[in-house]
Amino acid sequence: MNVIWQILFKDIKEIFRNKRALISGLLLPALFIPLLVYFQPYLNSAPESPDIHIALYDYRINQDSLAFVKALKSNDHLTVHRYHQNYKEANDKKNDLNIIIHQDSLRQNYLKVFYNSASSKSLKAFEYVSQIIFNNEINHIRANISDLNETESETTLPHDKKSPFSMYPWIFLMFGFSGAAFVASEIITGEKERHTLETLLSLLNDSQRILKAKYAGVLVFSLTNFLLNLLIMLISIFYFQGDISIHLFKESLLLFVAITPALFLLSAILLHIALNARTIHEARSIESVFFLIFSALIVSVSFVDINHSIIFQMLPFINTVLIIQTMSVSILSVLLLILSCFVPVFFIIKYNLQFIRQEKVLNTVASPTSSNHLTLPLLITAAIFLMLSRFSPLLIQVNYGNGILLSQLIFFFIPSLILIAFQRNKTKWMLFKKVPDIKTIISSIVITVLLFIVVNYYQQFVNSLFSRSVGTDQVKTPEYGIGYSLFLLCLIPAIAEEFFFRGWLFSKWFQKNDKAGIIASALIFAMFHQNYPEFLGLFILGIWFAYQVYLYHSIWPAVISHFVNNALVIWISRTHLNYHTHHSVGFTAFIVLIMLFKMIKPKTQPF
Amino acid sequence: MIEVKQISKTFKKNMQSFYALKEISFILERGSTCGLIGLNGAGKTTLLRLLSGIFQCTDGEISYDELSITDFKRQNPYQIAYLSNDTQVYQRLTIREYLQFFSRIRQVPKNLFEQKLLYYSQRLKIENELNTLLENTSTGTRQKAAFLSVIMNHPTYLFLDEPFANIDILIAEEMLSILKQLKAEGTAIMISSHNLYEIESISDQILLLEEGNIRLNCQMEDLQNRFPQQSLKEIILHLMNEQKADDQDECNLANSV
Repeated sequence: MNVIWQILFKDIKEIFRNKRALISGLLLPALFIPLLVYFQPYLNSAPESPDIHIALYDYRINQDSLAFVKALKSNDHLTVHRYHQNYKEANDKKNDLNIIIHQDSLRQNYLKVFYNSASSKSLKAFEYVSQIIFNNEINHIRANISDLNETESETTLPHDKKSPFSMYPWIFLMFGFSGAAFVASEIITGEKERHTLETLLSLLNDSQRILKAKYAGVLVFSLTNFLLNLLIMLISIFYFQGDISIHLFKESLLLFVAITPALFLLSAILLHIALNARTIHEARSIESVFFLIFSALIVSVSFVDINHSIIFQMLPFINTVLIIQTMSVSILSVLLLILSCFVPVFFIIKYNLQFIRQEKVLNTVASPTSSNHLTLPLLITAAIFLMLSRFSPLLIQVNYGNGILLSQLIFFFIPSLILIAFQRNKTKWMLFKKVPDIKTIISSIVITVLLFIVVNYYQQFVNSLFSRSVGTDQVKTPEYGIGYSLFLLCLIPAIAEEFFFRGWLFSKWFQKNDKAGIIASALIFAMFHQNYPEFLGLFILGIWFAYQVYLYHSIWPAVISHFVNNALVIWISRTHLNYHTHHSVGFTAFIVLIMLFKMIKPKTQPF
Repeated sequence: MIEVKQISKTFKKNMQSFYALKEISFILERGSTCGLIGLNGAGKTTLLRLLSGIFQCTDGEISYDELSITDFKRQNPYQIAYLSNDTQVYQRLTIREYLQFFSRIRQVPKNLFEQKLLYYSQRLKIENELNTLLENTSTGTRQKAAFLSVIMNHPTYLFLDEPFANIDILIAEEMLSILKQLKAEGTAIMISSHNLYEIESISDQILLLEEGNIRLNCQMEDLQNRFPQQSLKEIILHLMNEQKADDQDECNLANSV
C-alpha cells in the first residue's frame, strides 16, 4: 500500500507543477461551463414552443362543452384530437398526447382530466386547460383531475422535467476524460519514455502495484475534474439563474452516482491507451482520436431519445446518460450502470496487468523500429467506409459515370496518396517504384483468370441460395462504349482501390504481422464492396491481390490483376456467357490454380 | 551470490525471433564488481535487465543467493537496483523530492535519509541544488541524481548501465570511490560501460559480450597477468583484433574451399 501511495503522491505532485495539465484540467471547464449555463435558457426555449396535444375521449357536444372545445381550439398552443370509442388509435398516439380529457357518460359537464406532472409539456397543458376551465364563461364545467405520475410509471409519457444538469449528460463525461487524458499520457507514457519505469520495475517485486498506482492517479484526476466541473456549474447556476435549492443538491448527488462508474471506465481506457503507447506524442494522438469519437457518440446519444431496452442499457455510458436525462434511478438501472462499467474495467486492468508482466511494456520502448500502430489505420478505414456507404450512392444516383469516378477518387485514390505521403517510413514509395517483369505479369494474369472462374463457379452456388442470377447483375451499367467502360469500371477502380487497400492499408498492416495483414486487408476490401452475397469471393480476391504485393514487393501486379478481373466481369455481363454452370470448367480451373500456386515461389525474401 | 545458468533471451523483430543473449553462464559474488564490456548491440543492456528482473529469461535461470528472483525480492524487498542507460529523472521534482521518493518506497526512516542525503550530495557536489527542480538542472546533475537514487540505500545487487556518461572526471572518481565503498560493504555490482578506464579501476571480473555470447569471462588479475603492462583498452582491442583475424582466416578458408 505504501508503494501505491508514494507513486500516487509523486504523480500528483508532478502534475500540479505542470501548467499545461492544470490549464487543460481546470481552466477550460472554468471558462466553458459558465458560458453554457448562461446560454441555457436560450437553448431551452427552442423546444418549448411546439404545440401541446389534447385528447378528448367520447366527447359529446352540448352548449357548455362546445364552448369549452372552442376555447381549447382558440389557444394557439393547443392541438385538439377527438376520439370516439377509438381507443386503439388513441393508444398508438399515447406518447404524443400531453393531456387526456374524458367526459363522464352520464353527466356531460363533468370531465376527468389526466395529466402527468413529471412532464413539463403535460404540466403546461394542464395549466392551459385549467385556465380555460376556471374561466368564467365556461362555469358549468366541473373537472376531476388526476396526476398520472402518481399512478403510472414514468415510461408512459416522455420525461422532460427541467433539471439544469439533464441538458448536458455529456459534458461531465467529456471533461472527466479530457482532464485526465493529459495526466495519463504524462504519468504513464512519460514514465515509459523517460525509462524511470525500469527503475521502478527492478525495485518492486510485482508490477501490479505500479499499475494500481497509475490507475489511481488517472482516476483521481478524472474524479477531481468532474467534481470541479460540478462545483463550477453549481456556482454558475447560482450566479446566472439565481435558484439554488436543496433539489439541486439532490440532483448533484444523482449526477455523482451516474458519472462515477463511467469515470472508472474512462480512466481504465486512458490507462490502456497510455500504457500501450510508445511515446507521449503517440499517446496524446490516440487519446484525441478516441476523445473525438467518444464525444461524438455521447453527444449524439444524449440528443436522441433512447429507448430503455435492457440490451441497450448493457452498453457502458448509456445508463449514465439515461440517469442524467431522466434524473431518476431505479435499482435495476444502477445495477446495470455498475455492471456495464466495471466489467470492462476488470478486463482492461487484467489485460494490462498481463501486458506489464510480460515485459511487452518495455519491448515497445526497446525496439522502436516497428513504429506502426494499427488503431489509427483501422479508424481511418472505418471513417472512409462510413462516408463511402453514405455518399457514394448519392453520387452515383446523380450521374452514374461521374459518380463512380468521383467516389473512386475521393474515397480511395486521394486518401491513399495523402496517407502514404504522411508516413515517416523511408521506404513508403517502394511498392510503387518497383516495376514487375513480364513473367510476373503473365503469371498474375493467368492466375487471376483462373481465380475468376473458380470464384464465379462458387458464386453461382451462393447466388442460387439468394435467388439471384449470375454475372448480369454484377454491374448494372448504362451501355458505355467499350473503351470508356474499361477506363471507368476497370482501370480507375483497379488503380484507386489497389493504392488504398494494398498500397496503404496492407503495407501498414503487414509490418506488424504479414499473414494477419493479408487477411485483414482482404476482409476490409470485401466489406467495402457492401455486396454481402459475394463477400467470400471478394475476400478471396482481396487475399490474392494482397498476396501479390507481399510476393513481388510491388503494387503493379495487383493493379493488373484487379484490372483483368474487372474486365472479365464486364465481358461476362455483356456477352452473357454461362460457362459457370459447367462443373468441369470450375473444377479444372480449381485444380490448375492450386498447382500454379504451388509453383510460384518468392524469388526474393518476402518483406 | 548471483548464479546465471545457461540463460537465453530472444526478441521478436518483424515476426522473426533472434537471440539477444545465447546460453550465458557466469557467477557474480557478493562484494565483487563485474565490468560488462561489449560493442553496441552485444546484449549488455538485455543482460542487465534480465539480472534486475525487468525481463524474464526465455531459457535458463538466474538464482540470487540460491533463490529465484521472485522469492529473493519477496524476502529481501528493494535489494535489487538498476539504473538504465538513459534514465531521465522525474523532471518536475526537486532532487530532494526525487531521492525522497525512492527512500520512501524503501521505507527508510526520515532522519537516516536526511543524513545520507547530506553525505552523498556533498560528495557529488550537488548540495546546493537539492531544492532545484530537476528540469532546471544540467544533464550531469540529473545523471548524479539518478545515480544517487539507486546507490543511496545500499542495495545488495546493483546493476548500472553506463553510469559515467555525461559525468566529469572528478565526479566520476568520486562515484567510483562510492561504489568501492559499497563493494566493501558486500554489494555485488555489475557495470556496463564504454569507459574502460573506470571499468578497469573498479572491476574484479571482466565479462566481454559479443553478439549475445560470452567472449571472455575472467578475473581482472588473470587478465593483467596474461597481458602485463597493458591497459584494459589495449587488451580488449587486442582481443577484438584477434577475433577479426580469426574471422578473416575462416573467410579465406571458406573461399579457398
